[in-house]
Amino acid sequence: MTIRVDPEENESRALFLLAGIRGQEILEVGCGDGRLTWRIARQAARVLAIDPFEPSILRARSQLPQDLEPTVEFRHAPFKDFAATCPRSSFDTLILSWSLC
Amino acid sequence: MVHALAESRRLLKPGGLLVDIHPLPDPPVLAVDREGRRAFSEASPSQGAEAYRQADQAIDEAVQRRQFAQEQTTIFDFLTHAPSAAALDEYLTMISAFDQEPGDPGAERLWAELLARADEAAGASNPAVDVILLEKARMTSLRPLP
Repeated sequence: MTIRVDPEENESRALFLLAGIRGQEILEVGCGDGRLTWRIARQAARVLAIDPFEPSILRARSQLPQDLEPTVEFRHAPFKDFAATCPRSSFDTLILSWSLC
Repeated sequence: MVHALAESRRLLKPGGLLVDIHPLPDPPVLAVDREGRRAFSEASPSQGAEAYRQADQAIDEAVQRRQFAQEQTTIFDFLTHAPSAAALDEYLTMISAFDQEPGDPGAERLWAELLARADEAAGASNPAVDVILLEKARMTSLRPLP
């Protein structure tokens, strides 16, 4: 099954126009299988990407390009649980990626 | 949703930025391109419209309560491409496995009928077929207010 999700990169293009993320510490909430994470990670200093659905996180980790390993951390966690243990003022940019709905 | 926005505000550094991305309530379009030409295009039943409206409302409320200032918003096309209607359906089922809301049986029946029509338009074993789900999504940047 070859599925291509946003190969046009419309989502990341819109993001880069709205938010200057170069060199920033990013939290991505609802990263799924990491389709947007990798594109963000090419510009950001660090990306912590979380998702409540464990199979998605496992897939994201397995598909992460090797050169992005120092920049990206995937974590299996619902946002509520993650936020409860995370210190305030931790990130420059927080992305709610299809996760507010 | 209100809780998620409040937590987002707490986790951001002073001067940080919140970016929300979610689909518009408009129904997505299922299309089939065959040998580079559009062979099929129909609106699909939308199952998440109410949740998307609630997300818009939560953002509006956070702005009205002066928790955030809305900076910019943009709408973009979000396309998922598959080699067949069945492959697209399988993928969508997989990524929605965590959804806690039960599916609407009426919408699921209409979706199955739509997939069958798309499959028919695609033709059998055609390697030059692109089955596309086109969703419109909104991206909004919000700056936390002190």
